[in-house]
Amino acid sequence: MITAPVAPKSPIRLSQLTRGQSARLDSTTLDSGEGEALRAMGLRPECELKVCKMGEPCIVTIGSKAGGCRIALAKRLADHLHVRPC
Amino acid sequence: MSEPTTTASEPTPSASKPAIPRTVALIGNPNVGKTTLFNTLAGRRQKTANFPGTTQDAHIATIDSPEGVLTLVDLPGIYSLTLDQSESVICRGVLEGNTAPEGWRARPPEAVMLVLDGTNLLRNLRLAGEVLARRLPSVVVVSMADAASRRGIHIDADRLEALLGVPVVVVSSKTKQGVNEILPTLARARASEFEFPADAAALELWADGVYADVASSHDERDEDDRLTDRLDRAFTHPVVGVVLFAAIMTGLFWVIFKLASVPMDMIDTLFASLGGFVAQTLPAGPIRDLLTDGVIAGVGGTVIFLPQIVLLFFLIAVLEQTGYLARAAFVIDRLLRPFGLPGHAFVPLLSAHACAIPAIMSARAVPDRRDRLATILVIPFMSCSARIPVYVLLTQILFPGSSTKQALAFTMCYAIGIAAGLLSAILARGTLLRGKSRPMALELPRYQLPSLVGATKQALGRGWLFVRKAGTVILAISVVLWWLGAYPGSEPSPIADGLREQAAVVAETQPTQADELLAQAEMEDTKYAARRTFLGRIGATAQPIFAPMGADRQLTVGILASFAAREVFVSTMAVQIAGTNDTEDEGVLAAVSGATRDDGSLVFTPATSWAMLVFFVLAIQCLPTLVVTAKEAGGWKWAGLQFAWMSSLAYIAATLVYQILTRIA
Repeated sequence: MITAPVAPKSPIRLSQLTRGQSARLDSTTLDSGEGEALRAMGLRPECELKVCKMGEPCIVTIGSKAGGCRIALAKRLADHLHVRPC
Repeated sequence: MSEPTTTASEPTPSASKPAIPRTVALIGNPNVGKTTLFNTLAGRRQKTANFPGTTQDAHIATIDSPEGVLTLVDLPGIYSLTLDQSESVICRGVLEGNTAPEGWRARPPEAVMLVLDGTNLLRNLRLAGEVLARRLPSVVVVSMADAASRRGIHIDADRLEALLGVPVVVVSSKTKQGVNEILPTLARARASEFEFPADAAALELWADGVYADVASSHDERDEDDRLTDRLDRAFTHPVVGVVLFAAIMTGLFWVIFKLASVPMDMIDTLFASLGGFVAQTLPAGPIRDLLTDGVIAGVGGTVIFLPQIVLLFFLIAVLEQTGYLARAAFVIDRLLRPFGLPGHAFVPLLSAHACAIPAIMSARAVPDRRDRLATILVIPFMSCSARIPVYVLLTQILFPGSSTKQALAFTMCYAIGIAAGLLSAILARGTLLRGKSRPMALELPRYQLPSLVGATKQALGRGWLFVRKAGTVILAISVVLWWLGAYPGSEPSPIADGLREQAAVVAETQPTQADELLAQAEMEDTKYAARRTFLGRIGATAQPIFAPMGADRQLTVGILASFAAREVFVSTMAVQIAGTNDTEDEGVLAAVSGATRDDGSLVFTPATSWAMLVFFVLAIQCLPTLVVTAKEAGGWKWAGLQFAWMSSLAYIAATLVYQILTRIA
């Protein structure tokens, strides 16, 4: 059976995800200093992240489950990160 | 980069040993086990020094190894060399040879030891690319080998060495795997000949390629992660998190407040005995007085803060190493943000209730400069343990015999201090320190058992830094204040002369009464001399300034003398009124309560006592705190501002209280 290609999900705010949901980082609307700092911490475009806790703070793990790191973000920052759920 | 400007002998490599770099900078991401590795390599021979004009520390150690002598400098943890954050600016400066810790000569390091976290190699490779692009002789240390292995991550060290172009050693500080190879590997440090991408996106792609080539892992979620998730949810929960935080901080506060009192009492006794010994050994005169009342009292007044400083930093290091502190910062951020203070400010503010000095030093943990300055400025509003003797005196005078009312007044003093501090923070953030607060983003380190040895080293390093930086200034000013309070000397008081004559008359018939008269004469001499010292004269001149808050000449001297340290207020009042500084004597406290002014009216009326209580809650009255503020905030202007603001507020509030209460009465 031939299935239609699945359209990529449109970006939503990181703060709109639910606990346990995975997503890829699409873009940010932070100022360049804050954006660069988060990028150096591992929140780089297309990185895979998984939500461990929502709210204040929002806690995500980044990267492979065997490696990677765990980052806590103020909700104000999580509102400025746009992700595509996967 | 780093060679002591004062040390004449530079380590020289032995001809029979492989050449080892003499100065090595230790660089890496935060939480990669860099400091643990430093402690393992450095042993006990390490120092802590500031980078000029910052609150960033460098830990420095001289290591005498079979490969030669080298100086290892542990730099602040950074995620990237290119960020506009103080840690990154310092590391850039060190690698370029423009920055060095205070007391060290700025020059590029002979080698770089780059520490990469084996459990998070992909992200760490970005910093590796940035550092290796600088073409300094380097070695790469892949840390946390035990944790990586537990998570099923295998790193091919030979392949990594081939791709980075510098020697690689894989280590675990916990199991000691590879630790002995580090120093021999340093002898092989070399500059990579490879090209590394310059921009972030290209560097990330390069890191992806290297990671795919050197690391393999089975992608399974382990039990550690599930436990970490649960603990994180509890520790950052809006209710449970706050309750846990309150419990942990109560324990921390109790330890600082109670346990520190044991060594503090010992130090107090030791310096008192030393003073007594010098007083007995040397002939009476100005040199003996200078040594006992100036130098020994000044050194004692500095060293006495050490137990609280060392204990506070030990406990903070323990909490930090467990991974808890990063979680706690988020919990309390919600409560403090409305006042313009960050979550990181809570531990400093809480510990300020024991002593403002270690609290101000611990404000280094506040990452944003404006947040840190606001925290430092308001810390002295918290009622420290040195205020307690003053609160005890004044509440006893206000409510004699009613311990419930005394306790309520005590609590009110603490509440007024906290309220004034938080309101001052709002004011500071709305004016001088206006600006958007940096929202928090923190990497949450793994939960782990703390290293008590590492925490002890950190705490002792901080204690030594305090003695070296603040102790010298405090000692000098203590000597000046002693001189103002002791000179010029005075002749015996006319009243004392009369008492001595009476004693001589009754000496044979009533020896007990004669002794009492002589003791009374001595007290009269002390009171008489206190009036004639420079401080006494300044007090008499300055009295009109403090008159609106109900202060007479004696109270003015008490206020001025307590500028050095507020607890001096009680002993100064005792000297002036009762002619002794024995403040433990209940008779003396009764005498102070019933003391009269020159016109015969009571010194401590209810209005004056309330005004003094409010004054001592709000006024800074602690010279060492001002010295530490100047050092930590980066200039005397901040200490000046703190002094001016707190003194003005204290003066205005005390005057209002006095004026309102005298009118009501």
